[in-house]
Amino acid sequence: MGVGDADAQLMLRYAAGEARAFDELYAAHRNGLWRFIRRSVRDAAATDDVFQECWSRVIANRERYRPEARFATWLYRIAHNCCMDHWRKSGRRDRRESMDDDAIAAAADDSTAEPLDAVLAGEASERLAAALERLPQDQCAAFLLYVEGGLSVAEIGEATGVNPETAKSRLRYAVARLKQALGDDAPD
Amino acid sequence: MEEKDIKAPFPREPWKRLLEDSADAPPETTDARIRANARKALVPHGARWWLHAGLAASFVVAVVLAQTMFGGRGKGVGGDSLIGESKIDVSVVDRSKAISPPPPVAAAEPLRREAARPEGEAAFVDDDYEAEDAAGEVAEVEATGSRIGGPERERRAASESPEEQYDAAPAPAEESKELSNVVVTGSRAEAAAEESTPSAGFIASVDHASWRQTPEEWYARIVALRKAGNNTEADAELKRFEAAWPDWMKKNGKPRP
Repeated sequence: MGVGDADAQLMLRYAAGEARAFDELYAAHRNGLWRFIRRSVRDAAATDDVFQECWSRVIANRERYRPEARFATWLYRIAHNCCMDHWRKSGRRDRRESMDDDAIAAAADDSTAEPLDAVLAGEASERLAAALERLPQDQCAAFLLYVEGGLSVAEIGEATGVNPETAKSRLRYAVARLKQALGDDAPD
Repeated sequence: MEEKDIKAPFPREPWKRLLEDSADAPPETTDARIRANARKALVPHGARWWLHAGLAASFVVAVVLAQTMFGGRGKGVGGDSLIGESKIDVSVVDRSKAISPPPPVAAAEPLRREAARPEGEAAFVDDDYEAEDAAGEVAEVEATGSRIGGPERERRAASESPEEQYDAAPAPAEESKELSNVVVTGSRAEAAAEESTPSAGFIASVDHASWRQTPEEWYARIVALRKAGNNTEADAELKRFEAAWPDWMKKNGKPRP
């Protein structure tokens, strides 16, 4: 992870007034960020608003951006904050979010728990999407930041405001549940 | 916690492929809107010069309109509209030539005032005149070419500079009469400034009163004022009359009213 990665350079060029640099930056992160927000917000109608809000903050803060970390880390931290704001505004918090991580892990390990029949009925990608919606919000965010944003465990902890141990724990529990949901289709 | 677990607890790519298969993409309108916002944000605020220019132009237009609408008001009857746009000369004029018909523009003002003023308001005119007279200064604003005065004034004007006449203190009857005949005209701006006080133009209009142009009419006017019980005004007029025509009553055998 280089401090002066290509995306960071694009962001600096955009901050200096080069509009085409933003186009390249947007094209590189457009789909990944959309999926991250789509899975995090879990609301198709709100996804577009949060997505635009995220990029608006990127644009507004372009002159304050410092390439001290990867651009993706900065971008997904903004996206995560936008999702948090959306949850606060909508007043909708996943009930499972308040559950203890150990209880969730136990539920994931319990083969007699929810069979996820509906999830298993579809394609692997659809089942994964459905399983993500069932995950606690913190675990879902950790998983998406890791997979979509390419953040490390430490960066996930920094972006979500927890220490790396907690971030790693959330990530581990998330993967365990998703593997259970996907069964044999789950990646190794 | 091992370093490897911190950085990559499990491979990302297989999971990412699954996510890419299932998720949609942002609509094109959203793409266009975000890109437009990104470009709009790069436009420096300084480039919006037309905002400031428009504001300044609006202010100028407002000032011009205000001057157009209210600039001509508050200048009294017969203000600039009667004087016209011609430049006003600064000169000392002799009232002894007042017998000759005054120029149309200068004469129009007093005539209008006399016609519009009820008889009861004559005291107001004369009070102003008296205040100015007591200061030993009589100023008159008139259009170019207007010259009003008496024969004594014409003789004295030849030997005195305008400044001397203007600064002279009130004195004996002869001198006082001459000073009262001194007419100082000023620039258009000065004339406008004087209009806020008992103005030279206003006093000039009083001096054009027809009953002052001959001693008979003036005397009759004083008698009429005395009969009407307006003694203050009658005294003031008498004082002025005696200054202008010191021997007239004696020569004509008229009693002092």
